[in-house]
Amino acid sequence: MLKVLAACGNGMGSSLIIKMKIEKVLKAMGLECEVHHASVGQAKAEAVNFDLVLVSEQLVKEFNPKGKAKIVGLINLLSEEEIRTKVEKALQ
Amino acid sequence: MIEGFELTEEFIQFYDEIDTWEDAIRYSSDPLLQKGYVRQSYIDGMIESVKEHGPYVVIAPNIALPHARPETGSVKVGYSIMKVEKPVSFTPDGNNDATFFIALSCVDATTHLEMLQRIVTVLSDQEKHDAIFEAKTKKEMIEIFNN
Repeated sequence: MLKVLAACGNGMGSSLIIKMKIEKVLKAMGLECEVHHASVGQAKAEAVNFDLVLVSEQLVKEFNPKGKAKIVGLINLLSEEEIRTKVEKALQ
Repeated sequence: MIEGFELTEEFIQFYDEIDTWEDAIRYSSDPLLQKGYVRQSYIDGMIESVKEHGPYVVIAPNIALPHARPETGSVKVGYSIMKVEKPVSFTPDGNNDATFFIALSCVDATTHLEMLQRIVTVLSDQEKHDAIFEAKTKKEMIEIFNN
């Protein structure tokens, strides 16, 4: 079970969009997952409990690159193709 | 249809040019303010949130979804749409430009999720996505979002 956290500035907009998209993408990839969403502040504190953290590219710098969770930055939140490519790379 | 909200012409605006992203956020959310969907403090919250975290409201090339935490002053769930002919830059490097704005009034998690799902479905549909950028009238915009 892959634990995924979607985060954005205030946890109400892009994080929910990412959640909708990543659930779809991971399902298509045949991966079982549990997706949570949060604001950046919460996400920074909780990242350690997740395998993957997905955020807008602009927010990547707020996260510790050496932490346990892989941080994936997205430019086009609507592009399932971009999400899939980046997630596949992160999971390698 | 989102419970308690119907997209009508009053929520749609077209502009040729807006100088700053702050003004773009203010203009895009003005119908929500006028109609009592949000308070001024919520709009200030939208701007603060970009100042604090950067231009993450630009969720895809040319598309911005300004919004803030409900506790900053949202009243009812809803959204307003704005198109600007000339791209509005959120950063000087031009990497975060937007011509299409959807200002969201986020209230509680459930109705809000329904609204976002609706919007994401429209934006993810290539045909509708292209139609948005070609739309010239409020009627066309309503067709895209309500059908």
